[in-house]
Amino acid sequence: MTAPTVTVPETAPATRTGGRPRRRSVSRRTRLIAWLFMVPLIVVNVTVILWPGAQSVYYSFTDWSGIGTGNWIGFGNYTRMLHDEEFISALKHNLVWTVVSLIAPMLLALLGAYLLSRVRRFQVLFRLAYFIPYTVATVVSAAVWENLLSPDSGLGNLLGVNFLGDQDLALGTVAGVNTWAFWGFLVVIFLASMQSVNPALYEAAALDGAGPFRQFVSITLPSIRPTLVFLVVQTIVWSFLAFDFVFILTQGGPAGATDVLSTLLYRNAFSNLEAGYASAIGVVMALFTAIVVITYQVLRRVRKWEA
Amino acid sequence: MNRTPTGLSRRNLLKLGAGGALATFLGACAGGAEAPGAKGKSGKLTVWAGFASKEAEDWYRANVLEAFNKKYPNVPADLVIKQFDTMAQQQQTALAAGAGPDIVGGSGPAALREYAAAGYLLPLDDYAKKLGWNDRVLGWAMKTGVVDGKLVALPTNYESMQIFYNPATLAKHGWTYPKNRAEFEAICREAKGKGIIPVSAGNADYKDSNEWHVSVFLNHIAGPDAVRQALKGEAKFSDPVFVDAIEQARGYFTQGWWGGAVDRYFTNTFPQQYQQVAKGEAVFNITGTWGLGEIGPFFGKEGGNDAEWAWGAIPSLRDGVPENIWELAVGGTRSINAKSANPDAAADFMDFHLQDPKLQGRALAEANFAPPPIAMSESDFPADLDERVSSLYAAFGDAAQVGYTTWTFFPPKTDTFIIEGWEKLITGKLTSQQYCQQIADTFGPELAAGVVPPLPE
Repeated sequence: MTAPTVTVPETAPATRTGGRPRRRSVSRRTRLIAWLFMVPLIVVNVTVILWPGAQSVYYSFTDWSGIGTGNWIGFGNYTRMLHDEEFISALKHNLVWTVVSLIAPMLLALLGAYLLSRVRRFQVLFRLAYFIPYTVATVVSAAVWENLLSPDSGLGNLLGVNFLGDQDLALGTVAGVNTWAFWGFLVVIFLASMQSVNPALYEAAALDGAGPFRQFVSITLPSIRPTLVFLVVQTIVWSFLAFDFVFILTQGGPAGATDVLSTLLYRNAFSNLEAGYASAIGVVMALFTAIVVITYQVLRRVRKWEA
Repeated sequence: MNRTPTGLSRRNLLKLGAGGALATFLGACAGGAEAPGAKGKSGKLTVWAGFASKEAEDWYRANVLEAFNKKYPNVPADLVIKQFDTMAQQQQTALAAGAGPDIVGGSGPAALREYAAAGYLLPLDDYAKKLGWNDRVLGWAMKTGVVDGKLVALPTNYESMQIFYNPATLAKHGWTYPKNRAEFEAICREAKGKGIIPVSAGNADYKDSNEWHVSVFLNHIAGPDAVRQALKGEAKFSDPVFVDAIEQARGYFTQGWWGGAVDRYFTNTFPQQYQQVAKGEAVFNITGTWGLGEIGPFFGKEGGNDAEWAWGAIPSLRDGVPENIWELAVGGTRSINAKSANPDAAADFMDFHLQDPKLQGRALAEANFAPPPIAMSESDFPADLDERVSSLYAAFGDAAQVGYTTWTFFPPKTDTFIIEGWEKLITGKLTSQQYCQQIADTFGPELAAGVVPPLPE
């Protein structure tokens, strides 16, 4: 069976749009078809993302309770936010969460991926082992860790530490649990990127006397930079969206010690019945992530990371 | 008022936490289905409900749903099982879209008022008159469904607070059940000294359980009269009577009387608390009537021990505050969607749950469904119902002095602050004065806005 071929006449007839070659016309039709294929996705995105997003922006300027209609209050919710101790505290916690997420899982994942890239036997097994925590439902992971850390029967009892009940430890503990669930995903992505690095570079470096650490710093890291930067961006974005482990393990407690923006948003929307204020918090969260994403896009273009 | 965003009543959430209890969310919501034919004459009533267990669901299907469909065959009810954690949001979204269930399940007065203000709920006054609800539903509970002078909801169940204890533990240490503050504190002090937790408590499973304790402290230390006056705007929550009460309560926590230690309070689970009482590691457990359906599996043969549990009324915790105060609470409500195609059938469905006290007695005995707030006599409860359960409901039902739970009689923002602020109080981030002042500051605008639920006479 032979592949179908397209025969283009040497002298294509002029089109009604001013003598452009037929090939351009076909291209336009192709683009149209492409757009048609995208229509369902666009409709879905407009329906479940763009329209609700626009509504959230609108409601952020109202005193909407989440039920019925709200009254326009201008920037009232935003100015309130500036003086809201709970908001400021939650924002700080998000920043701490971001820093933890950028350091611990990133370093662990880079190390794990690098070591795995050197492994020839059982690599798939290790990849699977690292990736499994990411596939486990959050509620299951949380329950496991809650028991592991229990001050009555778990690690907490052994060490005499109440990890989730101590205000000074709770945030770091929950972020740590999140790291455990999350880092295996980074390992797999980093590993895929590392495997695309030209092996000749390592061979040349080895001939020049570079050790594994030098090879990692001088070859691996620069080679996977686009992936690294992308995952840094994603980690920052995910950090601002952190919710599940906090909600399950501590519900924002003790005494707000683990409250993050999303739990604060949730509480305002569904407990305080202040959906307008919750929307404003959501908009601010979106702005933070937008800044990160735009910065990434600008850097990508300027540095030509994909070139 | 149920502060859970999930639409669960406290009772039901706790049952999930305790793992294995049968009781469930009875705030069934009916609707969804288009009703062909004349309004209220034919069609289908789709009922939304979430159950804590398959056994509870089966019991409800067999004993309530089928009985209703047999009695009202023209518009039969069809049960649709919903997840606890999304039911309230699904309903809210559906209502906002002008659709949603025929019967709107409510978790308490706060959301109820918002729903009523948005025009989602059908006034029920005519149905109440026609079907005689005012004669059957307890007056105080009926009032919780009144918004701006109109009845918009019926209470589905009622709750109160009590103490569970292990009589053997008291006997072993030579204690008798406390009747007043001095006796209660003496036991707590002595128990703590012996390494026993005076009151097993914790909010790891349910943060909003903070307000159970605050409700107890407000009513049994400050006193129900003071609470009532504050709720009516005749006194302030920043008055000394409340500050002193909260300071006394804060002391209970910081001394480790509640939960063993402040940090432990944040990690203690409900099963742990019952186990501690069963094993004699804790003297008391303060919880609501929903605990009747939870505590059993931790005692006796089922719990792998020979312990027994008993209940007692929460003692007066300040001189001058009367004994035998029972807090009043409504665990859920049912309303009719203003857009319902079958409002008459929906009213019949709601009415059906109030018609037969014996059925409600069986529901309590066989599936641990808390009874609705209707007049029930001892003969309505099956003979095999645990005497401790029936006697608690009897004591509660005969209460001469009542208190006011925060989840039923406090407006939403005040209630949320009571819950959130409590943790800051016991961890030293707020003083008792600041805590009470912030309650007062939050409550004032809500009182002015008219969102404080009505109080019983």
